Amino acid sequence: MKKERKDGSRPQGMMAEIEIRDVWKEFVMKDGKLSALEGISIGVQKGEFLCIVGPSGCGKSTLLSIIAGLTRPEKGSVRVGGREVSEPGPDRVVMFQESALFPWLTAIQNIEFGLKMKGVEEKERRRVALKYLNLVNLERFENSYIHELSGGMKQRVALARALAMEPEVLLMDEPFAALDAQSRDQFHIELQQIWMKTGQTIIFVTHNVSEAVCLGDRVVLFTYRPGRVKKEFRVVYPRPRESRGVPKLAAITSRILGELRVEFERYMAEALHDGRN
Amino acid sequence: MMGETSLTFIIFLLAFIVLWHVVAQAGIWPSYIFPSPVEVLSAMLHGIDDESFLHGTIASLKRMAIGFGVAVFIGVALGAAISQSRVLERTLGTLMLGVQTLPSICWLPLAILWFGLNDKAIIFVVVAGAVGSITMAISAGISNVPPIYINAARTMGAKGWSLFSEVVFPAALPTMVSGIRQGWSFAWRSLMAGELLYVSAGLGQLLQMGRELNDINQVVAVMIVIMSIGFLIERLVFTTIEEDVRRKWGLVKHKT
Ligand SMILES: Nc1ncnc2c1ncn2[C@@H]1O[C@H](COP(=O)(O)OP(=O)(O)O)[C@@H](O)[C@H]1O
Ligand SMILES: [Mg+2]
Repeated sequence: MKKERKDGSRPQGMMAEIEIRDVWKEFVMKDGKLSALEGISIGVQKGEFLCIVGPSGCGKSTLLSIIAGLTRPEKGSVRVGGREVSEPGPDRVVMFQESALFPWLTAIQNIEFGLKMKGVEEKERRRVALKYLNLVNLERFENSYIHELSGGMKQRVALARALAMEPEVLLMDEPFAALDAQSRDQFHIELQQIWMKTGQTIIFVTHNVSEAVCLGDRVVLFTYRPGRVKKEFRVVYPRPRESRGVPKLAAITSRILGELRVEFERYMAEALHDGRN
Repeated sequence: MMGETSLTFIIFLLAFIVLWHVVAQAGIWPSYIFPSPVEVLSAMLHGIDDESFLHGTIASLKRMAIGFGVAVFIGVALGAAISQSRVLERTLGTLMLGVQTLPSICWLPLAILWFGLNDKAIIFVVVAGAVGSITMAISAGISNVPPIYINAARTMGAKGWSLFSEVVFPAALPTMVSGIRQGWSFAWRSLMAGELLYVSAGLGQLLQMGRELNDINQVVAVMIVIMSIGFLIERLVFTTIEEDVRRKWGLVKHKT
C-alpha cells in the first residue's frame, strides 16, 4: 500500500521505473521474416498506469512478453528498476487474456502458486492468497476448480494470482477482452480502485481504445504491423473513471480513433501498393 | 447413472445365459463342441475349488506386475527424454513408432533366444507390448503442454524442477494416464499370447491345457476368467483413474 491518488496525476520527479529502449523484434517465418516491433522506446514512471493501444497483430503481446523476460528482442533493451531484463522475474507478473490458470488447482491454490515458487511457507501463503481472493470478491469460491468458474470469475482469480505476487510491475495483456461489457465495466472500476491502493506500475495492453482511455494515465498508440510508437496521449481525469458516458474521456477516445483511422488508411494504401508491385 | 448402466448390463447378461442354455439344450451341436452354461459353471467352480485358477491368476498377474512396472519405468524415462530433445524425437521417437507396429508377440522367438525358455522371455514380451504406447503418451503429453501455462508459471518464478513437477507434469497427466492405460491393455494381450505359445504356469497355460485335454468347459471357463480380470482392471481401475483425472482437470463436462 504505497500511495493514495485522488486524481489522475502521476507522482512526479521519479526516474523511469521501466525503460524500453529501441526494442526491435522479428519472427522467422517459413516465407521470410516478419517484423513485429521496430524501435520501440517508452519510459514508464513508477506507479504509472500506462496503456498501449493498437490493432491486433501490431506487436503488443510481443512487447509485454519481452518486458516479462519470456522473449528476447533482436536489438535494444528493457530495464526495470534499473536492472536489465534477461529472464522472467517475480517483480514483473503477467496477466494474460485467455485464462492461464492451472485447471488442476483450485482457485486458492492457483493464487498461492507464485508464493509457493517464492518459497513462502504454507500458512503465510494461504493468508496472503485469501486476502487477494477477498479483494476480487471471490471468497466463496476458494475451493472451486477453474472449470467450475465463469469467464469473469476466472479473470478475477487470474488478477488475484498476479496481485498476490505483489510485483513492482503488473503487465496486463488484454485481460478483459473476452468478457461481456458489464463485467468489463465492473472490472475497470475495480482495477482502478485496487491500483489506487497498491500503487503498482501497470502496463496494460488492449485493442479497445475506450478501455485504454478509461484506465491509463497515458495512452501510447502503436502503428499497424510492424509496431512502432505512433503517438502518445495523456489522460488527466479523476479516478475511478467510468469507461462510458464521460464527455472528456469520450473526446480523447475519438481523437485516438481518428488517428487510428488515418493509420489504417495509410496501412491499406501501403498494402495495396505492395500488392501491385 | 452408473447403477442404471450396470442394471441394463446384468439383465442383458442373464438373457444371454438363458439363450445360450436354450441353444445348448436344443442339441444342435454335441456338448464337446458347444458346452452348456451349467457345465462351464461347474468347470469354473472346479477350477476355483482346486485353486488352479487362483494359482494361474497369481502367476499371470505377477508377470504383469513386473513387466508392466518395467514398461512404465522405461516408458516414462524414454518419453521424458524424447520430449526434451528434437534429435531424440526424430530418431528414437520415430523408431518407437515403427517398432510399435510390430505385434509384440513377434518378440517372443527373439526373447527365447536371448533369455531361454523361462519367465524372463515372457516378461520381455509384456514389456515390449506396453513400452511403446507409454513412451509415446508421456512424450506427447509433455510436448503438448500449452505454452501459456509454462509462460505464466515462469513469470511467477517457476523454473527447473519446480516448473516440471508443479506445472508440466500435472498439465501432461491426463494424456499420460490414457497412455498408461493403453499400455496396460497391450501388455495384458501380450502376456496371454506369450503364455499360450510358451506353456508355463499362468492363465494362458490353463487355457492351453484345456485344449490338450479336449475339455471345452475348462477352455470357456478360463476365457471367462481372463476376460473378467482384464475387464475389472482396465475398466474399474484404469478407466476410473482416467475419468477422475479428466473430470478434475475440467476436460469432460459433468454428465447429468
Ligand atoms: N511466436 C511467434 N512466431 C511467429 N510470429 C509471431 C509469434 N508471435 C507473434 N507473432 C506475429 O507477430 C505479430 C505481432 O503479434 P502480437 O504481439 O501477438 O500482436 P498483438 O498482441 O498486438 O495482437 C503478429 O503478426 C503475429 O502473427
Ligand atoms: Mg495480443
